[in-house]
Amino acid sequence: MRKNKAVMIGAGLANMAAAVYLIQEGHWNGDQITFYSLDDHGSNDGAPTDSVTDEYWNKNHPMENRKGYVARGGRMLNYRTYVDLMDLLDRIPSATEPNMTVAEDTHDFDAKHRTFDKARLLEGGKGIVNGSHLGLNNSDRLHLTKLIMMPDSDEEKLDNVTIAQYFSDDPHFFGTNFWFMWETTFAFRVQSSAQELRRYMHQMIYEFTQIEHLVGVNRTRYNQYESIMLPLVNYLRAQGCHIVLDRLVTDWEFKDTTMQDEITVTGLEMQNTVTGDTEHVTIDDDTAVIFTNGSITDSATLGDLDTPAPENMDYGAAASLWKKASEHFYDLGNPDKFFADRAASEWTSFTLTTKDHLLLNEITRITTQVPGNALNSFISTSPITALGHKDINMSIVVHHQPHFTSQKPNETVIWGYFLYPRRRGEFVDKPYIKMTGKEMAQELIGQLSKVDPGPGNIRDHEAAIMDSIINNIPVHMPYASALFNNRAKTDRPKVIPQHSTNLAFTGEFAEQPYQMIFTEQSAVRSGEIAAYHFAGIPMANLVKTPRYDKDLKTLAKAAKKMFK
Amino acid sequence: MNKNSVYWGVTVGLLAAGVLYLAKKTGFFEDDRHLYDEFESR
Repeated sequence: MRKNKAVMIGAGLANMAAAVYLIQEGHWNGDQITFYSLDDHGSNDGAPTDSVTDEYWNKNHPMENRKGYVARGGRMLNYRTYVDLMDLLDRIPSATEPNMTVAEDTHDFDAKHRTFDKARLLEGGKGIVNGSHLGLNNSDRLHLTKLIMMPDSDEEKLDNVTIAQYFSDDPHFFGTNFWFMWETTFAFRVQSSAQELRRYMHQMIYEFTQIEHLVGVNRTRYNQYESIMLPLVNYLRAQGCHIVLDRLVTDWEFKDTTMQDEITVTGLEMQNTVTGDTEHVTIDDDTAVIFTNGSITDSATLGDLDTPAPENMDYGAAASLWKKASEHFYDLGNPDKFFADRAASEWTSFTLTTKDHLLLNEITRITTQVPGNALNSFISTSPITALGHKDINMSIVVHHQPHFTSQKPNETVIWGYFLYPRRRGEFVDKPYIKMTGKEMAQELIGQLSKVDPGPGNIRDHEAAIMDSIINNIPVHMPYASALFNNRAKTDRPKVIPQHSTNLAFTGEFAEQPYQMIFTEQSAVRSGEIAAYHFAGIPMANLVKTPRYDKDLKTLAKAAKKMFK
Repeated sequence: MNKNSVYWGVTVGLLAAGVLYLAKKTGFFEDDRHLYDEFESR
């Protein structure tokens, strides 16, 4: 249904994309669009630590050490599949590179800094593992082939099936190099949805042939806030959009109808999180409401060098509002599938800032690659899973330096994460979630020492490295992988739900055809769909999505790779 | 000659039918253009 104004709940990538398409394709004026949000970066963040300590989720966790940088998550791009994202980025000017769009900025940087991972997997006693040998047996190949061959129309057959259940008669799969690389490249866990794994196998099928080098990965020049979100914020403000921050939307008012299935938002309740005041916004007949109904960084908390990240049990701001909507209407999904199963979704990351390049140079020596090229994952040397397999202990991303525009030339920023934060460290005898930033750094040095080819060992420099650390910010994210949680197809509301007259859902918890989530691609496309719907633009004008799963050459290459 | 032609004809026919069956079964020919119809503004 066509509208002339829009209220955006949430100011993450999906809703900002919706605003750009409303302005550029729908020919709206920016002042027809108002955002209400806690912050203006969503999950795509990255900032000097002292600039985020007052944000909503960090307020109750005062930090002693506010130095250094923090990026709660890290993301990789992929030009070939992120077609909607690249279309969006070609529409807005870069915030750091004059006379370039963000897409041109990213292409320019990426062309000069190609990803070629030489140490994707590392294991104590072996050093760099040859990841080109996927380690699959015939049963693994058969299970994967079945997923690849399953058509979109049969997707519901994997409703409520976890990856562990799908491979229940083939536990060997979880001990293969393929799984080690796949789980850590995309952040899948064994409890994650097999349905979503199927979508990845389809959309990322060509990654089979290059997963050990990550040559399909493209990166932005700086962190994703400065390289993607800030240009969007600048553009939308310049267009006259109203971006109202420090607002927690807490409840809905819906139109009462006889059949009780027409979804029409008539009002919103919200809290000003600075003053504590309650505010009300009336939604008239001419206004669309575009709602990002979940955030993987909601309830995320920060620690510091000497303090572990505390655990916040909040259900999440966006998910709480989604839950209230789903209690009104039967076809708006089941947020509990995603936000009431932390054991399946949580992980802990850390952002380490040093005052010199000692640690960076040691990592470069051990992994034999230059910064900015890699995602390095450390395989345990003994079984650590319930199935008795080895698994990845931790992973690190050594960015191209500088990763922040305000970073000093002598400083280094490194990001890493623990996909299973309740597991215990090998070098610090406590669960990762309980570790301080200092202990996480000690654990990292320990892991590096196991794979150090010598001569000498990184531990010889441990005292100097620890002394070089300005700060290391642990971040616990209870919902980091929530978007992968086990689910049925109906557990997420459609971008435009049936019987909705003015409400759309965007982001990673909205259902749309074919798209895989945990990608900027799906977030942008959901915003694009919502914008086209409310601006009356035909869906045929959406950016065309490539189907590598129907490309015979790609399928043949993947089949060949499976036997390596 | 005739027997040979029949043999090859049947073989090629069976192979073509197999490929078509597999393509249909795996959704290779599924038309996804209609998938966004439900999101059109009415």
